[in-house]
Amino acid sequence: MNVNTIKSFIKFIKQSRYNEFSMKDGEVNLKIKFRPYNEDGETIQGIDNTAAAAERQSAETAREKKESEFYKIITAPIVGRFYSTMTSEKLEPIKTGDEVKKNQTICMIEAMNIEHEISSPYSGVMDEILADEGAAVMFGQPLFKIRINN
Amino acid sequence: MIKRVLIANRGEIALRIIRACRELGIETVAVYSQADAESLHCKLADKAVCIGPANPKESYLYVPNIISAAEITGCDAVHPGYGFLSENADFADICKKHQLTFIGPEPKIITLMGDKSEARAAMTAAGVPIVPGTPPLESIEEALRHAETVGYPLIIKASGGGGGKGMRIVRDRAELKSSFEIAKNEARMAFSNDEVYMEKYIEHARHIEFQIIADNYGNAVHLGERDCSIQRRHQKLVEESPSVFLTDELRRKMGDIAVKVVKSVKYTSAGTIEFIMDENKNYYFMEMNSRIQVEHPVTEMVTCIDLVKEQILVAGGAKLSFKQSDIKFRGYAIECRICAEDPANHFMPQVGTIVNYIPCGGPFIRVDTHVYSGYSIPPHYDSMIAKIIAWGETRKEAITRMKRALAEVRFEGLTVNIAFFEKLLNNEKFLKGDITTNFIASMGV
Repeated sequence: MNVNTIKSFIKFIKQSRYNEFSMKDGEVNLKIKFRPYNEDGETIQGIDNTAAAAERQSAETAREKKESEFYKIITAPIVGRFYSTMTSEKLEPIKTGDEVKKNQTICMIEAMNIEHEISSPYSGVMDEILADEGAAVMFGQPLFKIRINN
Repeated sequence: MIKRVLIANRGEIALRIIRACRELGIETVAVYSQADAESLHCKLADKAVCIGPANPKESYLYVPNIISAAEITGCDAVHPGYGFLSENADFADICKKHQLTFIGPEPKIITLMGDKSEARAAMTAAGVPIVPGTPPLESIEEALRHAETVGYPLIIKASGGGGGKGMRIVRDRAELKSSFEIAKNEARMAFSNDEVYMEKYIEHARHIEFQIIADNYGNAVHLGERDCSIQRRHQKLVEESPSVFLTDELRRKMGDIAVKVVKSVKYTSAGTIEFIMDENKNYYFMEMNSRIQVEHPVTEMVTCIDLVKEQILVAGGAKLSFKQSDIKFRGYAIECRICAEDPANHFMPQVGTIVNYIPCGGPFIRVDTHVYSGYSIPPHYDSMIAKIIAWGETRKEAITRMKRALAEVRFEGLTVNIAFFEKLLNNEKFLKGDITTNFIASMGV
């Protein structure tokens, strides 16, 4: 059995709805087994979930960017906690579908007991809010998906 | 008692701290820059937080993001490792203000030890021998006057300096005249502080340092010395313990002085007292490093004490678990710092991917490394990729083991400095223990 035959078996199994496959051909025993895929993606023991989630998110980000030039992702410029409002009440929570202007404050990240206003680098329409209220966010983590105006 | 530690560092030292914490049942939070997302410390810690882009100024040195990362993950302590923020008194102070235990000494001790001329004054007051030298110098006239009293050759040093920067050796009046302003300018550029002073320059010197550890209750012990004379441009490459140059009596005397230094400044945590020793075995205090050092495993191998664990326990308020009389030294240990550098090409730093990493092993070999097969060396940080430590009943056995280990290990796809160590470990003078800080320069590599 040559490598190309094995490769074609792997391809075939991948496309099928089976995770496992085994066969015997003369003296050759072939067994192919895929790790079952789950909603959370593959979590290898020992790898932190936040890191894995961030990787997944950034992978998604990359895909989304490719998908459409009209959408932009706004990421966290600092580490802290994400909030849609500020204690001074000068920030109206942004909702999906809201019109957003360039340099408009769109959220607040609290770090070291200080509220940091985060402004939008683009004008457009809010498409999706990617962080939960009060969630810990790390540097570079996607916060918003925005449909930009041309 | 500390429950969750943020590790404000990367590379092998981050792994070293994770390992110590895991054995103590303490949770760990790693921080990483975008260039280190695939780094092993992110994978082995319980949690990992991205704190910024590749540039260390915006990540590993950027205090607000580090403190914030500690807060959002509920840490109660910060371990700074070595380098980066480890000897930054302001960072230690900010940690304290945010109810985070800084695993290291008090901020004011870091400040004292960071200012070399102040540290010299404190040591003189404590009766510790220091290299004959001068107070901070304002003008060239003042420098020339002091030079006559101390005697040439002299070395000009920056008060706020370190890492060999701003240092100049002057052998006579004319050289001092031409170098003084240059040294001051260099100091201003590198440390934003142009204060300089001079010390007697010791030819054929050895760099001998004592490991110390102290708790918050006035208990302090030394864990013997390390000979770090093998240096290239003031960067250590090989460290060993014990030093063949010291007699038992000298070791006891110098160790006592090291402990005296620690007690006189009320130092806590692990640290190192560096001495410079001349050909006639006269020794002088050089400086104190208020952090865990790269070469700490050498001491761990000969004392069987886990320094990082002890450092964390002490920071958490525990008493030292041993007294000076409990410390027993056994055999010899030697460490080689494996760096992504090409010894055949002026030690030029190398970047690239380690296609295949084959570790060395076998009895009495320890490898502290963060690399794995497929790991790419980011160009933004230190070039050290591994530390190999060998232990032996005798120095000869330790060196033979080291040679064996170096012959086994492979970092395929990347040029490292192993060829240099192979040359060094076969050098007659090195094998005899006849080493000074000029050794590598005189080897002609």
